[in-house]
Amino acid sequence: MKRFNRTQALGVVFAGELFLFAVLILFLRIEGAVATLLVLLGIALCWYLFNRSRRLQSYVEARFLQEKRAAALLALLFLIAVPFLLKDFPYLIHLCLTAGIYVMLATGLNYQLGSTNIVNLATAASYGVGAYASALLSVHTGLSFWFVIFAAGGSAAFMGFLLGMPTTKTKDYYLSLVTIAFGLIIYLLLNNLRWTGGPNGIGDIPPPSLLGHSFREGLNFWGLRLPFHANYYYLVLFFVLLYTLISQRLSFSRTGLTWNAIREDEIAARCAGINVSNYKILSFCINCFLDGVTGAVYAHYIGFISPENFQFMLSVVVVTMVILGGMDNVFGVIFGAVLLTLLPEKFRFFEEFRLLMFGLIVIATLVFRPQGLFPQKLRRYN
Amino acid sequence: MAFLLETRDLTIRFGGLVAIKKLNAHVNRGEVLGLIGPNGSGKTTFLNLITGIYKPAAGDILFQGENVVGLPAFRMARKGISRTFQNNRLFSHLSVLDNVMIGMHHKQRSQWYHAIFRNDFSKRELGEAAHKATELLEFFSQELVDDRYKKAIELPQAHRRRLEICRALAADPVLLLLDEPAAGMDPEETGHLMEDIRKIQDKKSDIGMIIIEHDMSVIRNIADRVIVINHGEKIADGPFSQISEEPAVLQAYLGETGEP
Repeated sequence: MKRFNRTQALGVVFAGELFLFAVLILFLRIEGAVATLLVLLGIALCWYLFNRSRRLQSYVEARFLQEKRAAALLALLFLIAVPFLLKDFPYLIHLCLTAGIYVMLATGLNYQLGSTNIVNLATAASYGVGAYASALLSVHTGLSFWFVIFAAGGSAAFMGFLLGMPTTKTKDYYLSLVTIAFGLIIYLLLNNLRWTGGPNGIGDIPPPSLLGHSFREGLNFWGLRLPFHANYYYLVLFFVLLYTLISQRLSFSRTGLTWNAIREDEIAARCAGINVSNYKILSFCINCFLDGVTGAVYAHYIGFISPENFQFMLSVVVVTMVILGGMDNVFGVIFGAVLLTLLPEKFRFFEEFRLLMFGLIVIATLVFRPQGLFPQKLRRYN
Repeated sequence: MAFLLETRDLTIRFGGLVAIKKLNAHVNRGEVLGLIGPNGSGKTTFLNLITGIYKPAAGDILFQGENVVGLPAFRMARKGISRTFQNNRLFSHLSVLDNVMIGMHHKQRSQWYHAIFRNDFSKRELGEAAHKATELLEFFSQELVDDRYKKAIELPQAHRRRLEICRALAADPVLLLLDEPAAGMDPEETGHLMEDIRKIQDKKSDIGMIIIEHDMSVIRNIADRVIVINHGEKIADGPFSQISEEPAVLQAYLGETGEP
């Protein structure tokens, strides 16, 4: 492969990422519907022009590919810097970490919806089971957060296993119906069982602590004070990076390839010696495990959970994120999740039409760009 | 020596229709068996029974001396039965190389936890598989190697069929089932196909094959023995020269003789 001038390539990478982060911060800080709309239009225009110009696209892409490590490191630095830039706006940090939580849910769902084409509409259920498991454990036993997250993931994965068993016998819409029904069952159980606190939920979930530093206290860097949200922001950032890494590794492996085969043609997959049921259940377990961990993070951040947090609507939102971002493209999914978290926040006055908007987004994506904004990349081997 | 594959009184019904009725057939090692019959006579159903996609209502399937009746499709594939499909069933939106690598699925060991915790092992195995897949593609045509990072759906029809055969061979099968491999091909492409089949035989002399085909020139040139089925029943079994003379076969293909 052709090598580019190092400094020049690094410059392109730096400029590109700086631009993206400037846009992100601008978008977060902007207020008022008209201004937001203008910024959005600007972003869409940039996006369109970038996509139109093949030369620019391949120019940037090739340089990013060459300096992969530097690009990742730089992106990490920018992401770490976000709370410092927003230290006077705790709400915006909250928004960022909410986006992070949705990214976690969406990367989990991507194994099913993107890789295997299982339209799992029970994200809220696995997320809820994880949140409740971790909350109950830490409230009643006082176990540390760092232990409880594994328990949360484990119980959600077990739930995923239970959900996966019957769904191997069904397909397509019927499978989705099973997952919807399952999500409803979990919601009703959370609402009606005594030990889950019923509709009152569970309160006073203790915050995590690390090396004696409680996450309820603000961070202090040599006199630079960050609101306590920053703790959780970094926690979520850590998990987002971890999930992304896992996602990358899984999709570029025999497992990811097998899931794709099932998505493309189940009968041909069977005849190639693939145990389709096992791989489907595996995708349920992995997705639900990750959802469970996400639920635990959320519960310990918010400090109070009730069944209302885990309704069907949440599952629909996460499905929309994956469809819009791009099936089985990790970065696409991250983009979709961030976009669809920030947009509704910026259009609060539009709140009543939120469901409608999500419906429109799904329809528009499926009609005009069925592979999502970022289509899946072909695997390359050396 | 036992047959490579043998069916005994194989029967399947769809509702009231008996699609395959007490079919006794066998294939030897290294033999190419042609399977012919009019449309709807049950040829593909027969393959679906052998590959475990359908479960027979009665009868036995013996593969390498072992009764494998009722095993699910993926187990049949792991025993060494590979197939292609009448209408291509490629993994359309995956690359040519990925298609062949999926064919090697059950020859590989790495699991999801390897991918996460021992990524080096997972990657190494995948790399080796990619290497083998490229070799296999090269064995058939350089063009497929050049197109290895194209999506399967972007290939021309003849190459798609070839790729499907490659995918089936990637599993290193003992029995290869080809369902109308020459459908929709022009005479030149059909010629290439027959060369490919000969190549497979040269490479792996003990591989058994069953070929369903409507193009009689293919059957005449390739098949060592031919079975004719009509309405799910075997009506003839023997070398092509022999069965092409049989009255029952002529009647099945041309209808009752002596009528206007």
